[in-house]
Amino acid sequence: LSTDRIMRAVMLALLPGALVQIHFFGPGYLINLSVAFATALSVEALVLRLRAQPLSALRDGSALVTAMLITLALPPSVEPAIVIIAVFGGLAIGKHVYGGLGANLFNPAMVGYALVLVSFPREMAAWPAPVGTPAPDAVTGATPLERFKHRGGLTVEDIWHGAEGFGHIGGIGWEWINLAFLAGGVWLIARNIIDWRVPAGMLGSIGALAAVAYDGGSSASLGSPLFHWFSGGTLLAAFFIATDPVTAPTSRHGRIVFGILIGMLVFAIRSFGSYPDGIAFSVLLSNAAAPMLDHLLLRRAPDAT
Amino acid sequence: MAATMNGHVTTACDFDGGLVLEQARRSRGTELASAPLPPLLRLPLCHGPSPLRTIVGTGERVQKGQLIACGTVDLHAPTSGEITGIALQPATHPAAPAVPALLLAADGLDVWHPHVVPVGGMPQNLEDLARRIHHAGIAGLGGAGYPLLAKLERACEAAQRPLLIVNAVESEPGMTSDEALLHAHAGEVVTGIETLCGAAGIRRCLIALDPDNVPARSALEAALGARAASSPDIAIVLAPPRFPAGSERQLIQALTGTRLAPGQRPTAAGYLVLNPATVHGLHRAVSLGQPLIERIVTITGPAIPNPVHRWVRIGHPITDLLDAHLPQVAAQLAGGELEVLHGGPVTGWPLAAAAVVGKQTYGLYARRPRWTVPRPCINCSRCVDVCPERLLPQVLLRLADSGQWPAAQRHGIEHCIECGACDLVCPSELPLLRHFRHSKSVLARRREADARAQAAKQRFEQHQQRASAQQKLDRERRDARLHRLKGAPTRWLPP
Repeated sequence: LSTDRIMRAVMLALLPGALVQIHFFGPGYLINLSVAFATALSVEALVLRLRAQPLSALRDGSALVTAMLITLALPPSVEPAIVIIAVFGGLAIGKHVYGGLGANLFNPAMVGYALVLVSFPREMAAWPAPVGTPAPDAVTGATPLERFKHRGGLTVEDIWHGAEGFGHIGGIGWEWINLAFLAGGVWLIARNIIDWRVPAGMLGSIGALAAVAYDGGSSASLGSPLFHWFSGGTLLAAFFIATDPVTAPTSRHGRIVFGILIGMLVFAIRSFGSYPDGIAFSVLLSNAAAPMLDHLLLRRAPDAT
Repeated sequence: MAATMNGHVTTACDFDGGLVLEQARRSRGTELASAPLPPLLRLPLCHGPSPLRTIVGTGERVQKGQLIACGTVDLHAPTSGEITGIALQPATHPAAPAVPALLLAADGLDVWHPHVVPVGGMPQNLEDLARRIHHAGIAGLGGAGYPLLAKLERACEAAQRPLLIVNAVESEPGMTSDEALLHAHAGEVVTGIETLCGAAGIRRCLIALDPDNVPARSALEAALGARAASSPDIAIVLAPPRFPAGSERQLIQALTGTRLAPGQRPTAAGYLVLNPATVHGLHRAVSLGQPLIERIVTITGPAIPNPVHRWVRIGHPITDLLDAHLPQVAAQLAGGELEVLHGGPVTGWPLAAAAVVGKQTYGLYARRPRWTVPRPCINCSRCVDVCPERLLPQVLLRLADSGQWPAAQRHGIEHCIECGACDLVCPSELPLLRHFRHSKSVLARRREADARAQAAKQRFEQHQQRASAQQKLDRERRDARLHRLKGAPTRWLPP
């Protein structure tokens, strides 16, 4: 097992989710992906050149993984310029400014995504209606998370049957996308490429908080655990973003706490924040907490003098 | 104590960390022959870091088994011949400086020194055994080369009846020197165990084997079945099939369930862990009076199509050894196309072409030099999962690389047992073991320097004390003299 093989396996595991996402949101993703890959390779090559590092570091594939994650997090209809800015921000500022692969404090993909999320809020909210939505009233619209949040006084039951865009457990399309990412993530865990502790902590805390706040589905309900798991980018983040070993804590206990922290922040932002989804900010905030978690929880050599 | 386990085979429990390695023991079952004598042997005048003092001169004729240098572990002439001189020799360890070595031109007669005769009678007590071990120059033959005598004394000091563990678990993948020895000489090893236990008052002995080591197991079972004596209690234990089960701290944990404290020597806890070759050497020393002059070496590796084990004299140049086995390998080694590792593929280090076989050379592993470009650590923690000492290799690497020695020490870098398990799993192919070896030597040097500085300070303070005491004494004497002259302690006035 080597670093480039790990990166290739991660990309392979992302593939089912990506294909389902393309199925539901159209081939715009293919254009974004090629733009992102081209940008990633050129930015990486340029920065390696500036840092006087051998270009062979390109082969590790980590830049492509970052590009792929950013693309999958963006809506399919964004302009190529936004994709380029996100990838550049993620790689040049999120990774190389800190000293390159292995030295970055924050998850590069989330740095790039957060950069464009705060810079282009209108474009970033424009998600097309997924294939299969009955009679969409516009080409683009709010995501289920957004509709759920701004549903007025409706009960969960009402919005589920009354508003468009809700499927069996999450949003139409979204539930399948998340399920495909879950499959890829489980495969990575089975191949011992990612640590199960981060997704377990994250999904566990989201599920626990949602279960407490569900209250049977009243108008003040914050959504069921299944809705939170299978909407937005929850499972993509749980298995592919939060598990980045570089920016997660080293200690095993620390990784569980790290996952729990992300889950709590995601739930808090979704429920009480001004953004419909809060993956990027939760991951970045928890990245910042990772060194402290290691400091507190890292196992020292027993009885070491 | 449990009921007698004599000759029983049990399976050990487990130890922390480690990993399953694919074992290709290609040298298994090959015949065990003696390597042909080289024309010239080079005998480094050191044992580990401590120098040996030679007692022979240039031009002197020596005979096989004759004492030629003294020190922590005595050195004996591996064959008969003439001492032709002394020359600098690259040390076995790459970090050590070159050492002077005696050059012994073999005369081909290979005759024993007349003093090498069976002493007769078993050693009755520890002192008697210790004397014979000391005269035979026996060091641990497993790889560390720790002097047997010191080990034995420590174990007997720490515990009334230490537990003897004969560690025949090969320390590296592909190595079979212990297996070959036990297969061919199981009876002698068992006799050696009986001798040692009888003299040191040890009642229990465990022989640890690799679970797939059938040749040694069957030979041992036959030897144990033919035993007349019932004491000590000797049992065979199969070690877990995971690397590094052959490491003594891990073996103790697997066999007894005891985790030694970090930095604690097995002897301090009452465990005497010996390699079967060491016990075999002890047997030869006690029953035949023969000092340690040869050992079994496994010659294997991807570059050796026909791996073998050989009885090799101490001081045998590795080029001669390889040349006699496979001429093209020696040529490739000289041309730099091959590297020969001292030990096995995981923890071994490349030898200089001029290197010789030492008392701790259990294997030579020939392969093409591998050039890997280490990539950055991605913090994946695979090394943490396999570390058998439960250290944090990735953290240690970062601390050691940035020179944060106190923090590295707090994280236990000095308790690294240098097993190399972390190297095997690192996806970035970082040479962790090399970094840790280097860091440990840096720390050892710092400690030495600190100790020297402390000693100098103490010397200075003692000197100051002595000087002021002398001054005080002088003043008192002067005052006393004045008192005698003037009759009273008045101020002295110039005339």
